[in-house]
Amino acid sequence: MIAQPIPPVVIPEVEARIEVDGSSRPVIVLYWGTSLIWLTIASIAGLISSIKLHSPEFLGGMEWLTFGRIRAVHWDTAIYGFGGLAASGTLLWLQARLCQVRLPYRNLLLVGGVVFNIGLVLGTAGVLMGQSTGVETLEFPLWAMPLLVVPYVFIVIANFTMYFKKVTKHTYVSQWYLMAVTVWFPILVLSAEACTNLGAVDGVAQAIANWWYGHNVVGLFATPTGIAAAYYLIPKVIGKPIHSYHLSLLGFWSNAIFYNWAGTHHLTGGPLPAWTITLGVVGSLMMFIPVITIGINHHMTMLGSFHLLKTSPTLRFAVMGSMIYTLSSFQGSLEALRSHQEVTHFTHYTIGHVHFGMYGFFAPLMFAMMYYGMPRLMDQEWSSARLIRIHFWCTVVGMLIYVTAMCYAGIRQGLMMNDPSIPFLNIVRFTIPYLALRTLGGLILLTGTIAFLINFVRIITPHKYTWKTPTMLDTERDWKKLVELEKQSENGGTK
Amino acid sequence: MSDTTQQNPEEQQPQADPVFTLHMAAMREMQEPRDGIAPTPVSYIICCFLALLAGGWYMGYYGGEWTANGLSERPIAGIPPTAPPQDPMVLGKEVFGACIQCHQESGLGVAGTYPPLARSEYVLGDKRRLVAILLKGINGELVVDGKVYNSQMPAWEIREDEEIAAVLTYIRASWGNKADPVPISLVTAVRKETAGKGEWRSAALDEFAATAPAAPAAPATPAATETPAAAPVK
Ligand code: HEC
Ligand code: HEM
Repeated sequence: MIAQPIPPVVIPEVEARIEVDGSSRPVIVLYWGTSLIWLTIASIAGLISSIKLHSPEFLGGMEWLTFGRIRAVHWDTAIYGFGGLAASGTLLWLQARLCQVRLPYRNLLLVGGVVFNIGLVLGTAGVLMGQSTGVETLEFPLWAMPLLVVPYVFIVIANFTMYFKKVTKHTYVSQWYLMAVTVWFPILVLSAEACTNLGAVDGVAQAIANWWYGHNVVGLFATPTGIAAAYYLIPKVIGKPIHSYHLSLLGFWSNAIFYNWAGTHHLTGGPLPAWTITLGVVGSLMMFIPVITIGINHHMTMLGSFHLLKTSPTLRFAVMGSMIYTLSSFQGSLEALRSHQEVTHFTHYTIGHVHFGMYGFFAPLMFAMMYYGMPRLMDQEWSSARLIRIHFWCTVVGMLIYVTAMCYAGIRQGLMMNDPSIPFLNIVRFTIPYLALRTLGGLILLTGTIAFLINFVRIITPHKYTWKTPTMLDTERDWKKLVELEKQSENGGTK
Repeated sequence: MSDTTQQNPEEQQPQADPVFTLHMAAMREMQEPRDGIAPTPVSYIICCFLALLAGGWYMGYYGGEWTANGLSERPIAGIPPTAPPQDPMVLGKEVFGACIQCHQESGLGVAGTYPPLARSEYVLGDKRRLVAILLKGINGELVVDGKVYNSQMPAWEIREDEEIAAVLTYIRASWGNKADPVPISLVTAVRKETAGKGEWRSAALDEFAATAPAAPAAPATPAATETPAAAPVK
């Protein structure tokens, strides 16, 4: 088998873990569970938007499902519903474990989770009814926003409380990122709302504020949480220390310094002062430093342990996520260049890139957190290895179909649009098959999500029979077998 | 954690276990992650600094002269880096949208209520007086083109100097009116001069028009050669 030295189990640490996991169970399960429901909703909304782009007559009679509304619903539910809840669950659980303290304010956090979900439902309903603010990423009507912001304040408080009460002496890399997120995100949301929907500035400055936020919600909220998860899971699963503390430092601070500037690359060609866009381009290019640094750190840690990818579901999703972090960030940095934008700006290429990052990097890392965390929180194993395999391959295949179709179509589309002799409608016609391919990719992704959801529901409902050992990818486990066993024993009991 | 120790899926058959094996997962997992201390190669640090240098160069080279209205990242030969000034006639027509409800699109006003702007001595005459009317509004009896009006126009001073100059330039050159443009600097000057004043009465206006401007910077006698100042692009 493996020649891995198994580190001695430090008993106080195990006890702390059992304590921490027990205390955080209801909160984390609520956050993760609802995040998966929102992922399903976001995917369905994404699918509807996708179908409408190649078959505009689809659901054409329904005012509240028009493209402008359903697309806003897709993005907002994906980032706040799935992203926000999955990341918050991850944040709280990781912080509690790394500080080795019980999760504080559990009831407050539970109420917060419920309120956040109500806010999401109301915001979504508002957008569907046509009350979208029209500011991308902040489409939810203003009256729904307090319901999203207040619960987040609880999370911030809980996070700081844990950190200041921590038992461990050392602050691990993941914690840096988690602390940073809790400081950055409230600043981002509040100042962006002030500068857009509340009208503190107007005109071009509003557009800058909008995209500063739009980019940072991915870069300073989703990304750091994803990186924190990768920094935790990879060394944890393979049982080796992270390669280099110094690289961790370099990666963290360069990420903190440069990401914030990149937002204006979304506005290339717009009526902005040229230097603001150049600043965005330079910020994006400088992102090569943290991305390469973090990439090296993760890769060097994994070196020699790649064979574990065959069996560990957690590791497979985590490594997929951190590899695509490197790839999609490279793609993004290059995409910011003006010469690149001349072709790909305002084409499907951007959408391809967004989904490469969100579905190739962020989402798999959140899945990895759940695959790792749930058995510990629930004291039960995943019922079905088959469903995990379906989930993994659907994610990979669906995402690759989606991303390659969109990126290829986007480049061709951009080149054609730069040629004034080609009629615009011909270009639109050219993209239709690729848009249909995206729908196919989306359907595959949704299938994977549903497989995960089934497994998730199984693990949170208590069962009499459970596997004694962890569910690895190379086993033939299926939850039907568990059900059969349960029935058999019941029959046996009554006989 | 387990995920490594369980390389051997020894039992393909699930085992019925009526009691949960408590905290199995937490027991079997690896120690919490630690930091390794592999040093960062100096060559890597140097590469990072080179990247920073390149970024700084790029920022300077494509900085678009670092001005608020520099819309092109590089100066293009023959084209000034700033956007061309906006044509006051175009902007003026836009602002005139606010006047149409009373003075009408034709500039003829409404007989008995709203005086005309076409052929009006107030529009075609002293520019300083015209600016003053617009900034502060006017109330009471007023004779325009031989007819008496007795009504009220609100003040327009919340509009920017550039917009006031443009709309006046526009009304002075439309519907057969042919008078020279109103410079922005004049609006700025009159705004200063009339600061704190309320709406005009016909008599007070005449008095104001008869006095010389307070500041020499504001020309009372129109300098016909003065072209409208370039409107800064917003
Ligand atoms: C609410 C209706 C109203 C609006 C809107 C309005 N005015 Fe007037 N304006 C009047 C009235 C009424 C008078 C005459 C006041 C009096 O009788 O004392 C007047 C007088 C004037 C005069 C002096 C008399 C003349 O006819 O030459 C000028 C010049 C003038 N307005 C320009 C403008 C311009 C330019 C605008 C748009 C920015 C504008 N007005 C918008 C109602 C209006
Ligand atoms: C079944 C899966 C999905 C499908 C079918 C899908 C489809 C779509 C479609 C059709 C658009 C609009 C494209 C356009 O306007 O041209 C879009 C935009 C977007 N989606 Fe998805 N999506 C899916 C999953 C996700 C997930 C899971 C996330 C994030 C976690 C996500 C993030 C985004 C973002 C950020 C945008 C806006 C991009 C921009 O404005 O530049 N998507 N998606």
